[in-house]
Amino acid sequence: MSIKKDEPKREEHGLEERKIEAYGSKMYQESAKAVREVGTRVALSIGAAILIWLFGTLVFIPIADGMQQIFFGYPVNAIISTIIVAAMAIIVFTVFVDVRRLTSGLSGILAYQFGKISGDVDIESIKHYRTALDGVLYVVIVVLSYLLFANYLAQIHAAIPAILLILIVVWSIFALWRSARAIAAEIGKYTKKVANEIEKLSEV
Amino acid sequence: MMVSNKEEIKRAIEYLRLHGQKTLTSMLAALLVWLFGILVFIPLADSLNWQTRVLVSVLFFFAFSVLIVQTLPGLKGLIDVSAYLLARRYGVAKGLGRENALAVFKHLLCIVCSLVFYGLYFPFLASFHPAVNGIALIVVLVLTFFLLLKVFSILSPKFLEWLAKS
Repeated sequence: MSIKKDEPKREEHGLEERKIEAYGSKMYQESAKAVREVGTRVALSIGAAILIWLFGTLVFIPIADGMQQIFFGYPVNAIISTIIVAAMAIIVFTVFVDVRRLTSGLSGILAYQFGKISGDVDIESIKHYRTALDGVLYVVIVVLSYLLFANYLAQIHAAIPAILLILIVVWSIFALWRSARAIAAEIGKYTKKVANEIEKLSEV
Repeated sequence: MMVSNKEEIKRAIEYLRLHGQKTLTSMLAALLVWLFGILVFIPLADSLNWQTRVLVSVLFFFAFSVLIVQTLPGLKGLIDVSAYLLARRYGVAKGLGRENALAVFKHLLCIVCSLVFYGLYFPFLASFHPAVNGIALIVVLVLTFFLLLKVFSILSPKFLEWLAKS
């Protein structure tokens, strides 16, 4: 009798496992597709942005600093910095959507692997982990982008990178808080499990 | 008294069940904010100028403090549960008595928590002014001293007994 009762449960468990495996392979496929479709564009754009940054920092800004000329009331190095910032901004912002696609694929894979390691998983849990990892990855990407712009913005005006950094700080605090909240349900599962175990212990 | 201990543990378990999720989520968020603040944003701000560093430190200090304050009620429950488990595992086995062992481990865990909190706040406080950090350290040391005094007052009869035997 008990075998018959257990059968539907086992089937359900097997179905869930298959769903998770399917989700994992879907994540890998999505990620591979994203790398195939936008990987080259992202790599080229990042390479171009880094090249512009390098030439600006090592060549154009030192030349402009040596000139000490005023052009329409503005120092030449500030004008050069503005041009470089504008060029990098166009490149970075156009590639941002593609980077988001890449990172969401990557966070999907990480979430799937993390879920597999932690054992007790379902698709909802993996989605929660994915949202959490997404938030952390976005903060990292924004910080790296800020690093590209900071020096040039400081050439335009010393206050601009500071104001931008403060805005990024405020945004990242909320982004990190949202990331942590995304896995609140998973944490809740563990705390309930621990509470039940301690309760059993205290009854002994 | 035994009953009150059991009731306390029951309350702590219930608290863990109801508020454990919120407490641990806030702790995780606080840890993330602390990590990004100390390792990424404060060094970045420091590379600009000291005013930005102080402003960014203040922002992270407040965000971190808000998250830590949210965890404090739940942390009490966690300390109670952990002290109960430790007392059960080590205290009672050493013949300390359930109540005494529970009190000793509660105080010891409070000391550990206060030191960990001081360690987490240290980079923020040091970036404001070394004197602010010094005041916080003095407060933590005084608190630790009084808690250790309580622990020794509980352990001293056992210690004297052990001395008399040896």
